[in-house]
Amino acid sequence: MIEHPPISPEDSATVAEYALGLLPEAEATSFVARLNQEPALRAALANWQNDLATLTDEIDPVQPPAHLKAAVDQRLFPQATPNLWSRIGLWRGWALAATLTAAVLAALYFQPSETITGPFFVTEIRSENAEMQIAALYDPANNTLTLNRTKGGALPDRALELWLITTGNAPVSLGVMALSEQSRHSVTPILARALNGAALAISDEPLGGSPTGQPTGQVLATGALVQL
Amino acid sequence: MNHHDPIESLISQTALGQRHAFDSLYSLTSARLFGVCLRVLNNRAEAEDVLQEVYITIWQKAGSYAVTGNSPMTWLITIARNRSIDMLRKRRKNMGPEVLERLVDPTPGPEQQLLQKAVKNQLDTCIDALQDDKAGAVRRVYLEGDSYQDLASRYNVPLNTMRTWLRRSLLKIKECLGQ
Repeated sequence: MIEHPPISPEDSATVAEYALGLLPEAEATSFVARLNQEPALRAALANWQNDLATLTDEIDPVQPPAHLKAAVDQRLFPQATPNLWSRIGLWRGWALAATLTAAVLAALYFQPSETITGPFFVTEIRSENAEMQIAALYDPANNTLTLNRTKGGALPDRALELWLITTGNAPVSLGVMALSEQSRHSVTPILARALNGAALAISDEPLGGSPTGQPTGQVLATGALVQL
Repeated sequence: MNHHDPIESLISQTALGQRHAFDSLYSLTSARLFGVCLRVLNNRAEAEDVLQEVYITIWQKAGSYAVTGNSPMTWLITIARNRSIDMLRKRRKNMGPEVLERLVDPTPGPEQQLLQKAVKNQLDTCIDALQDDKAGAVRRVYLEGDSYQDLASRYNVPLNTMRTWLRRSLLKIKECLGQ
């Protein structure tokens, strides 16, 4: 470790006050400016922080609840492929599980495996407050995205429009959702190849869908596609 | 600095944006940091919120870890402690004085519980060596988030007196630690 020249007792006490969060705001601001300039002060601060942290030695570790890591990941990597915990979270809804089981079984049963041209994708499209929940499954056998709305719906005289969001591109409309709970949307082969790492979003639009080809209303719910 | 410390190398890899390293760092350290948050906040819901903030900060600030000169666990604990104290102070600000009064001096307080622990580290020894009825002040500040104003009311002295006294105590502790 590099030896630093000793700092004055005055500064030593200030470093400790800073480490404890006791410095009045104005003093803290000017102290931070000095900290950036003076390596000896930074070394003294590291010493205090290391020593003060030992006050937590006797605190028993407590396992945080499992959903917490998923929440952290959701906030840090909202567009990324969910990790295992989020995948498990996906299986919460009975409706989703039922849709999936039926669709996968149907696809596997009715289609010889060699005609299946690509992977299945699933997601749950949710609003932030969970007031809209839609299970989505992409079936490569017929290039169709099937949506099963379990919660929420369009506002009076408005429509829900489905969008495919891929990194670095403008949203692509997959059409206006049916009023019934189940809605089918065909996906062109070019778009189908972009599903890995993509997300689905639902926006609030005028009846008949967005007049501009891009979302014009509020984005109500989103979900990242997961490859099965 | 010990480069073979697994926590340290996980922090370095997290700084490079490697999520698997971040996942391992979380598995290895979250229980320890959650313990710290719970100890400071004494409220599970708040501690869960703060722990999320802590790991978001860790992901975002991992690149600046090396320049702090902290040991890896100190760096993590300091983030957890500081975030928890911020939340505690925000809570106290939002509370009326009558609620605060009820919170003063619970018995046995966490500080007393800490003192009852048999194991003493060097800092504890140095704090106790102050041989003063106010020896718990540093612990109260670090773990309970007391401000100078809180301490001055607790010990019934003017704020400036409190500050002069605590600064002197901190220097004595430093001398005892041989920093």
